[in-house]
Amino acid sequence: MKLNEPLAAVLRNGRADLNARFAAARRARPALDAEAFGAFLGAAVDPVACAVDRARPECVGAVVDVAYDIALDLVGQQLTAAGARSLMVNRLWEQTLPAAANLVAQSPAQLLTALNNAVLQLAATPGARPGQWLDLMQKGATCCDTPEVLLRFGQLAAWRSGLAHYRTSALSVSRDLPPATALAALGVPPSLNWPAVRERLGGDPWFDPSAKSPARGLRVAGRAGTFRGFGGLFPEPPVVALAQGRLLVQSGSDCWHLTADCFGATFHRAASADFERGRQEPQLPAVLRMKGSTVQRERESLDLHELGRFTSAACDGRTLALTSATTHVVVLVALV
Amino acid sequence: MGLLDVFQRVSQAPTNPHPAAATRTFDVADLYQGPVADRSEVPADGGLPLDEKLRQAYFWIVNTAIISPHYDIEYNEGAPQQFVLGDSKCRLTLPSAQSYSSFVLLPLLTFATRRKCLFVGGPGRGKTASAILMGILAGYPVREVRRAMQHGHPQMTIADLLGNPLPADLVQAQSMDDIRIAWRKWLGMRVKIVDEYNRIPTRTQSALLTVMGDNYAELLNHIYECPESAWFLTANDDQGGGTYQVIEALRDRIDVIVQALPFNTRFLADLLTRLEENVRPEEMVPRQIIFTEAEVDRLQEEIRAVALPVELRRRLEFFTSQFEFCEAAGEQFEYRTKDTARLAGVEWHTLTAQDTGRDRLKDLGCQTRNGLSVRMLMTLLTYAKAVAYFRGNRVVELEDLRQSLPFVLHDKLVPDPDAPFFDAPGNAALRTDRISWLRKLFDAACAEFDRLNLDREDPVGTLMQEFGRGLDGVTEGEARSRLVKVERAIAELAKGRKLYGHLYDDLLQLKYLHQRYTNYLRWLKTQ
Repeated sequence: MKLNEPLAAVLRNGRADLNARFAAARRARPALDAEAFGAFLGAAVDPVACAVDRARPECVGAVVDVAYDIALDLVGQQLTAAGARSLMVNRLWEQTLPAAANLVAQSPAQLLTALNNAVLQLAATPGARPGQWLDLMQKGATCCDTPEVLLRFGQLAAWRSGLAHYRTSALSVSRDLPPATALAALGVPPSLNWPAVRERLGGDPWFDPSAKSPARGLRVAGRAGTFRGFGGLFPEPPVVALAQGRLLVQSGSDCWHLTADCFGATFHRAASADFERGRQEPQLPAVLRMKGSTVQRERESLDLHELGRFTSAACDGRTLALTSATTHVVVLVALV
Repeated sequence: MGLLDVFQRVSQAPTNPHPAAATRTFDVADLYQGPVADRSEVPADGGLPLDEKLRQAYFWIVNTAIISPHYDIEYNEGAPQQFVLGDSKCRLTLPSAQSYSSFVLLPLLTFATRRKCLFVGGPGRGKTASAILMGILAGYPVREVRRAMQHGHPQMTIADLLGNPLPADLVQAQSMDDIRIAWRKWLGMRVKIVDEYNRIPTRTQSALLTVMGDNYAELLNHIYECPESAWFLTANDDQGGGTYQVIEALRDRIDVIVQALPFNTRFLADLLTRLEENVRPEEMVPRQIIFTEAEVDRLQEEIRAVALPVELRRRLEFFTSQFEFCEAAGEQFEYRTKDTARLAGVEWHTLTAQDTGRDRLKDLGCQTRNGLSVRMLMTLLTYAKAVAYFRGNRVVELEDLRQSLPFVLHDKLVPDPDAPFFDAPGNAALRTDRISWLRKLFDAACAEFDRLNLDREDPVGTLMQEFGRGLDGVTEGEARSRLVKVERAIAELAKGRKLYGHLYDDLLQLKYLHQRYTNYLRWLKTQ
């Protein structure tokens, strides 16, 4: 692959050092393939070098220096090998980073490392939407004026793209962002009142700021998890329990902590002992009742006959998690 | 990425992940952590817990510094896979949980607890290199560690070891107090290394004993107080093959013994790389795994705080009680011990010949020529806690005790090679493999403990608990009732016709309780 001059010049000038770095990386990671590395330099690092050359030509050397080592890490760990994950990594380098060239030039090590790790985390999290995150970051590249702001923007956007477990922390970070930037990170119109949106988001996990008419009352708000045979987590239909205010899910001998909101649902490993302890605690508030396959709350009722009889139910106050013997999915009912 | 980076890479935390607690909180800053290394930050410890830092140090040594493919401290979660090999049907076990190399783990725990470790094994197996690494982990420069290392040799004098009086003072001094001493610098270091300690002449060994045992050096009436430190000693042969016989008191001060296992020739490529690249791992220790003095202080405190459950303590008591009892050694009950026989200088075989018809194969006490000292027990407890701490636990598990015990008792619990146990089929190799023998001994004690159902039925333990609640407010009637219970318990134990070590300890304990209640009753009568 023919390289453009900005990258080619840096490689030419630092040939001996760069070759030594490749050799050292190969020793540490024998899977590092020279051909794949060359291809990645051409396809991914080259567009970034060209964009930086246009924005801040004096920074090309420093950016390529960092990008070269990161490329060694990525290719050496086979994170750029064929697959959905590599598509996202390539999109980051080909589109997002060139769009943020000016910011990358200001802090190459910090931004290149952070954004690569972020896209890899999103791509590795079942149910997360790395593509949506990259789209949001593309917009962020134009509306953020410093690398630090772009990183905070990325954190908020990651929550928006499905990493529900970051909800509380991301909302806290959003306080340091200008209102328009925070709204852009969540993909909602800039005309909305950010302090009001943030307050509502803080109190209601099922509040979707981009929805035209926000839903209310007892309703199925989401479904999380799937059968392991289809690439999911659960080897058998799961059961849920509430432990120390957290929703835990058990399937087979494994246990997870489930976090869910209107942006997504994620699972993190938890101890089975916590699940067993949780089952000893009351799982539902007095106002909620299960009758066959129906959920009742005072005068509200939600019929879920397609699930059959519930095998377990747990409620953290704002979300009711339900399972049944006929599905590997955890059904999430919004209570607010 | 330079070669230096490769050698300075530290395993990413958590190095021994545990199931996450339900109370886990999520920080969005973690979004930017991942497989791509952050080169914008200066490496630092990142506020890691000290047990994590200790594990990172372990994995750096195992994976980078010492080419050590041995995982002889085996932990399992569920049944491990096993293969039977060769004519002798030897077993190769593939542990199902994170397992460790004793040659690295035990020295590291010695460093963390500031105790004393002896490396044994043939020349050129990395004993001295490992000891030097421990000095570097304590923050000393390589050159300083090398210079401070004491090399045993047949001409080594006390002055070589401790220091010299200043020559001018020797001439002009009117009293001993006027003589200033130039103390050797190593005495003030927190990691002390003595290479080939079995080549030190006996008289110099005695001076070394004072430093090792009492933590001070004495020369011409002057005292040098040494700081609390970790000791690392090496010996090519610890069974008396050195230039000088090591005095028993010095050997007794050593807390653990680890054997340098042979080099696996399949790792020759790694050696070649080091040769070609002129790499010395001790000069490339990553800054993240170097401990400050305050951190080692804190490590000690945290290790001491690791809990040892009562059930586990009982098992250790039961194991320990097997060995000191020797029915033929004395007439009075208290003196029926192996130590009585040792002090009397009786030939061991004459004692065993007088044995009382107990099942010598079943009686674990018959496998040893001595019992366990208080110092050994303290060391056992310390290392069991240290292993648990290293594994990220705050409570000692049975396996922690089982795995650390052989290295503590390696040189302390002396086997009787003539015991019938070693003649039993499959046990001959245990005469030479002390680690496996000690582990089997502990397993056998645990099996016996289970067979006797002592976890649930422990009348002596119940009486001790009752006494442990104190005597305040205990009436005369209650005290008499307890005395009767103690006497009944003794009578119950006497029903079994044979005496074993654990019964001997129980009986002595009951005698103790009886005496305390008797004295209490006498005191009550004066009130």
